[in-house]
Amino acid sequence: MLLLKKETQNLIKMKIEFTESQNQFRSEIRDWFSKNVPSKPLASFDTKEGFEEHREWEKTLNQGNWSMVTWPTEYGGRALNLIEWLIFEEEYYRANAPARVNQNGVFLLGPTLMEYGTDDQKSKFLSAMAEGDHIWSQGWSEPNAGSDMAAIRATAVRNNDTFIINGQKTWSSRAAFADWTFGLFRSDPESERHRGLSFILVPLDQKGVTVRPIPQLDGEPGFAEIYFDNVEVDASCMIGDEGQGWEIAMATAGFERGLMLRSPARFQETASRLLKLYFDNQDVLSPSIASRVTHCWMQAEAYALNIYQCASKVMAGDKIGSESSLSKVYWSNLDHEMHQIAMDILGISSELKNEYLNNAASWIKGYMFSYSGPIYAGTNEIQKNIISERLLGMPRK
Amino acid sequence: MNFNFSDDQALFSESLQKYLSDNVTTKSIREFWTDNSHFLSSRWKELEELGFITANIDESNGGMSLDLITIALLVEKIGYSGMPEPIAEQLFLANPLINEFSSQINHNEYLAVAHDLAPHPNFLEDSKQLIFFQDQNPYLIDIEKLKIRSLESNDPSRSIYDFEANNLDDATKLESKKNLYEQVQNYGMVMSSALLLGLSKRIIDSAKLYTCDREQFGKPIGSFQAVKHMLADVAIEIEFTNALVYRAASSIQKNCSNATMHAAQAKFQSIKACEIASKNGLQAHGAMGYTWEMDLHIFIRKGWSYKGIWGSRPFVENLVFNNLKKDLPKLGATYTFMDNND
Repeated sequence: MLLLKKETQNLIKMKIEFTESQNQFRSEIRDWFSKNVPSKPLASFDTKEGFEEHREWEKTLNQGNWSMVTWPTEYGGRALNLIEWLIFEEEYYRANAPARVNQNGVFLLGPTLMEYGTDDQKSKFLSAMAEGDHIWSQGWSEPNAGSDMAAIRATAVRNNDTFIINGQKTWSSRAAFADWTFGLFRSDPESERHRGLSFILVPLDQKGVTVRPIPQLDGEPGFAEIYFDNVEVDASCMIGDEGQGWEIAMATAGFERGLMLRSPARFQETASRLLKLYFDNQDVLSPSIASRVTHCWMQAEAYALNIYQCASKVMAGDKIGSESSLSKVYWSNLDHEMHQIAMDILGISSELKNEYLNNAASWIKGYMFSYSGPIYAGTNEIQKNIISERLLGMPRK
Repeated sequence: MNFNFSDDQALFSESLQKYLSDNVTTKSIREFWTDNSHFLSSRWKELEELGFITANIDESNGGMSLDLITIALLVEKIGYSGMPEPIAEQLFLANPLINEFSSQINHNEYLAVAHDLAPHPNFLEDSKQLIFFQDQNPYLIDIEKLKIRSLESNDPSRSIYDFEANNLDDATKLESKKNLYEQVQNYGMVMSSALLLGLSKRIIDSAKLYTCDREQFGKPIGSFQAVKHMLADVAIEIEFTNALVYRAASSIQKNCSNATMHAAQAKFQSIKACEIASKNGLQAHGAMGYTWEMDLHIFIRKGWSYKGIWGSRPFVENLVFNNLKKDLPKLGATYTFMDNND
């Protein structure tokens, strides 16, 4: 008995290669980047000057219609599918284009608005976001609500057509120079945990808002504390319904967007630069360095293949949920290991902040940043709880 | 670009999985261990009738000409089952050679293959002929013409042999335009990767069941974070093995210039996954995991063997490193799916 006859074989078989049109799309992007990426690197977007330079870059991207490429065309995007998005990102990193100062907006809030926002909210916020007029920061964590986000205590009390907001947010990325923040606030004072939270947008220049920048390990204020002292916000700034905040926040943190923030291209480019650093210095290095460098390059490629596999699943209609916790732990450990090896190779120049030989200064900055990977977007310990409980089905208690 | 299995690929492998879970019990594997010189020819026959043994034999010779991605998926299921019968070897090593030399070799019989990466052919006594390499040239020889000696593998599911040809004139040199030495090497690396992937999945499943069942301090040990995180680490390594294995199978199928590199990467990662699965999986079973009685070691032992043969860690790491050195300008994210033949 033959279980499978040749002629019944499915047409959509696994095919691990790009199509002609995908390759063509790649050349189109490469061409545009070669003409538009600033020749001189911009100042860090965690400085006032650099922030504005990056805002200009957002505008340049938007003029070329390369800003919100995954957004539907009705909102001015290119409606790229996930595979095309990965190609776009590969070219982005290949061109060494400036980092996205508005990624909180374009990748997180934008899609959330499209799903939960009203028409008025969409027309008010989406185009300003795309044009770089509104740069967004995130307002999730509080001093006593970190990994345990449901412990949020900042309040938003409804008063007719406004909310009065009080409390404190912290670790708010980009808030030092951003125009707006989005976050979760307790709109039902009697509520506990995940219930009674609302998703509200707040302009940072509003009366009663105090932003206190927090210098990070590199000395620059990459995040900030935000204090709300009777801040009056129009009720039209609430996304979704009162009490629906948790659900919306979870969707914001959902997989597709998670994927978009951590393109494999970023790690593959680091791995390639690391290999180059190794080969430039190999005469004075020990064999273990060659071995570690090789491992990292393989891991970066394994990560890329996995993301292409996840993208294929999503495009076939599968939902990806807790699986993104597997990648979070993987890329954050990989990023740290790659930078650690670079520091080992740099040796005596690994402490020189302004050394351009071997790109030392840039490796040092990346090295410091790699320490944040296992913490932000949910610590790796929380991710491992999610993996074991939701993917492996181990008991919560 | 599509990384999903087709319905047919999934269906075909599920039917094999069903057969294996019904028939290849750990009890039957242990029975085999008491006298492991020959595999169950009745099981071989059944799998042949179901179409699995000749799945990638050319249609002109009564097979189904299935692609290597599907075959890798079958081999992953075989790994999961712990089956002693050398079906993985037949599919990955023998069948491509049978297709090439179809007039000289019988199509549906087990054919043993030896190579520098695995010089002790599995179940040699169950094969009528052997393909081996001398100075990287392939030869075909009848078993009767060989002096053979049984060796004891640390995995009792493997029946391995040392052999010596009395006279090279007794063997037929196989003439081919392809580099068969490299071909068998690449097929062997991907075969062992798929087996290790299946074994790793079996080991984590076993650990998961055990830690949910076993209670200490009044609750299942799987509720403790130290145990959870140990198994989460295993799940992560397994997750990042899948795509590498199927990309390697695809590259061999397409005759891609990077096939060797891709096979080596798959092998490296699958060794890593199986190693952490074995270490943490056994640890999760506590002292029970260290007993002969617990079935866990059936799978761990198989992993120990296939980590070393068909591309050990240093061997595949060197392959990758030397390629990186050679291709330094062609690295980075835009080259992941590049074929240098293009």
